[in-house]
Amino acid sequence: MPDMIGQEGNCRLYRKRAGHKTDSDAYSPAAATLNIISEGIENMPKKILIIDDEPDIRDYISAVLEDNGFEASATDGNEAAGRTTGQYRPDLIILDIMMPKRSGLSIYRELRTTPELKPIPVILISGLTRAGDFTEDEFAELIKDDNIPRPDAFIEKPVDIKVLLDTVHQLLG
Amino acid sequence: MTVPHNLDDWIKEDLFRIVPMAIAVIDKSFDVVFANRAFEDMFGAWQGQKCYAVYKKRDSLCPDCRGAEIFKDGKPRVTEEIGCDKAGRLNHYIQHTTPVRDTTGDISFLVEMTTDITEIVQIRKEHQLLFDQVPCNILVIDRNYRIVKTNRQLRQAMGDLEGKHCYTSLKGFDHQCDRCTARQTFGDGKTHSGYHTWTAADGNRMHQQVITEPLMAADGSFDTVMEMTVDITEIKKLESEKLEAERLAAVGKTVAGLAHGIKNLITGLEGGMYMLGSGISKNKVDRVEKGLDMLGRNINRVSMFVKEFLNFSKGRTINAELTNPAKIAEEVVDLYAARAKELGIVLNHRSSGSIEPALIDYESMHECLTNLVGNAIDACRMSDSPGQCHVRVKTLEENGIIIYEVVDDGCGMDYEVKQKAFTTFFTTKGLGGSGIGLLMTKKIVQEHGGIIEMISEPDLGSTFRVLLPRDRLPKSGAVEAETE
Repeated sequence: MPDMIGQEGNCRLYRKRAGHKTDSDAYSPAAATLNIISEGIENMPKKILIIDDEPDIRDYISAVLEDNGFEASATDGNEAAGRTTGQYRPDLIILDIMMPKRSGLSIYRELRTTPELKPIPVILISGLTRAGDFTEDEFAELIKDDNIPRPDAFIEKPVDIKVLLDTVHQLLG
Repeated sequence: MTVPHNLDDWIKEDLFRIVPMAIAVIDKSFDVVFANRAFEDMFGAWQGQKCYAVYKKRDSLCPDCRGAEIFKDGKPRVTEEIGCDKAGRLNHYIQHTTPVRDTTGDISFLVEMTTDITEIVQIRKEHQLLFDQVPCNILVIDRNYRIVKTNRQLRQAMGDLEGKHCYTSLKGFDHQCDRCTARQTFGDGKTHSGYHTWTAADGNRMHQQVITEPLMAADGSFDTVMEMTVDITEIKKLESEKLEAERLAAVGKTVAGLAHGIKNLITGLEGGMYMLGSGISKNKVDRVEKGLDMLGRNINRVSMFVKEFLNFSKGRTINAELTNPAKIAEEVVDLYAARAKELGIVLNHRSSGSIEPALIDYESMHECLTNLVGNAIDACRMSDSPGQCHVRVKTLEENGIIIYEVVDDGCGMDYEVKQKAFTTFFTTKGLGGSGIGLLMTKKIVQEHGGIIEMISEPDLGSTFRVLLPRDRLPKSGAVEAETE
C-alpha cells in the first residue's frame, strides 16, 4: 500500500512509494474504493452487549465503552439471549453471572449452544465467585456440562475499568 | 394336724421339732441343753457342747456374747451373727434370744431362735457391689427429698450426702427444683427421666441425664425413689464446641456473602463518579444527571448496608422465653397476607398437632421467618405467573425437633442461583435491599442451636426448613449472644 499523506472525510490522499510494483494499482479508483470500504468496515465501532441486572452497572460500563469508541447496548437479561442478540448482533458480550430470575450461567449456556451466537466472545463478570472457581473442572461443575467451553475472559467485581477495556481490546483485536 | 391331749408334751415332742427355724435352749453355763431338728441340720451335733463351740467353733465364750448380756439384764434381743454351719462354712444368721425365768424370777435358760440369712447376705453383697461399681451415680431419696443412700461413684463426685436434702446438696437450692424428676415419680409411681445440672463442691457444673424409679414393696407401696444419673458433662462440652465450630463456619460464610454486597456498592459509586466526571468533561448534561443520581442512590445504599451490617454484627441479647412456636409463624403470615393478596399469591399457615411451648427469642425468630416468607413471596413475584403461585408455611415437631417450613412454587430464580445464594447467603435484591436478610436468618437460627436447609429442584420452587432441636435451644432468660 502507498503511504497515505492526507484524509478528509472518507477521502484519502496517497503518495506513490519508491519500488512499488504497479503504480496504477495503487492509484486506481476501484482499489481506493475497496480500501475505503474495508477500512470503513474495520473502523465501524464494535458492538458490545452488556447483560447485568444492576442498572447502575449497565449505565456505567455502557458509558465507558462508548467513550472508548465502542457501541454499547444493555439489557437486564430477562429476555432470552437468543431473542436479544438476534435483534442486535454484538461483537462481544459482557455477562453478569448472579442475577435474579434468569442466571447468567443459564444465558451463557444458551449462547454457547446456539450456532449463530457461539462464536461471539463472552466476558463473564461477577462479585461472587473468584477467578479460581473457573478452572476447567470447577467451571464444568458450575455449568454442569463438559461440552460448554470456558468463557473468553472472567472479571471479578468491582470491575476495574482498565482491566475491562484491556480485555475487550484483546478479544476484539 | 391335730393338737394332742397333752399339749406340753406335743409342743416339746412335735412342734418344737418340726418348726423350720433352728431353736436351742442354753443354760447359765452356756451348755446347749436342748435343740430341735432344724438346729441340728444347721449347726450339727450339739449334745454335751457349749453354745460357742456349736455356733462358732470356739473353745471359749465369745467376747461380745449377747447371751451373757441377756442373762444379766433379762432383755430379749435380735442380733445378726456370723457363725459356722455343720460343714464348717461361714454362715450368717439372725438370732432372736429370749430369757426364760424360773419360779423365783431368775433367768435360768435362754431360748435362741435362729434363721439362716447367708443367701440373703450374699445377695445383699452382690447388690452393694453393683450399686458401687456401676458407672453412674445412684442415690435413694425419701418422700422428704432427703438422700438416704448413695453409691460410691456419687460419693466420689459429690462427697457424703446422706441425710441432706437432694436439692440443697446437689444444686445449692433452698427449695425443690421446678422440674423435679423424683417428684414426678413420687406422684404417679412411674419411671421418669429428665436433664439436670448439679454444682460440685469446687463450683464445677455437672450435667446429668436422670432416671427415677420407685422402690416398691410387694404390695406396690413405696416410700423411696432411686435416682440414677449419667454424667453427660463431656457430651455437653462437645456439643458446645460443635456449636462454636458451626458459628465460626458461619462467620466465614458471612464475610464472603457480605463482600458481594459491598462490591456492588463500590461499583455503583465508581460508576457515579465516572458518569459525573465524563459528563462534565464531555459536556453531556444527561450523563452528569445520571452520575449524580447514581452517587446519591449508592450513598444511600451504603448507609443502609452499614446500618444493617452493624445491626447484624453487634452484640445481641437472646431473650429466650417459653413461646408457642406456631404463634410466631401465624403472625408472620398475617403480616404478609395483604401483600400476598395484592400479588395474587396464595399464602397460608398450618400447624400440625399441638406443639409444646419452647424457649425461643420471639423477636429474633419473628425476624427470621419474616425473611424467609418475604423471600418466598419475592420468588413468586418474579415468576411468569405470580397469580398461580403458593407460599405454604408449616410449623411442626418431630422427635423433639421444632420445624418451620416455608415452601414456595415460584420459579423466580434459576436453580444455580438458588444453590449459590443459599450456600453463601447473599441475595440478588438489586436496588431493593442490602442482601443481608438471609445472613441474619442464618445467624438467628444458629443462635438457637438450629440448622437451616434449602431443598430445591430446577424449574420448581424452593423449600426452606428451620430445624430447632429442643435440647439445643438457648436457656431461659437473657443471654449475651456471640458477636461476629
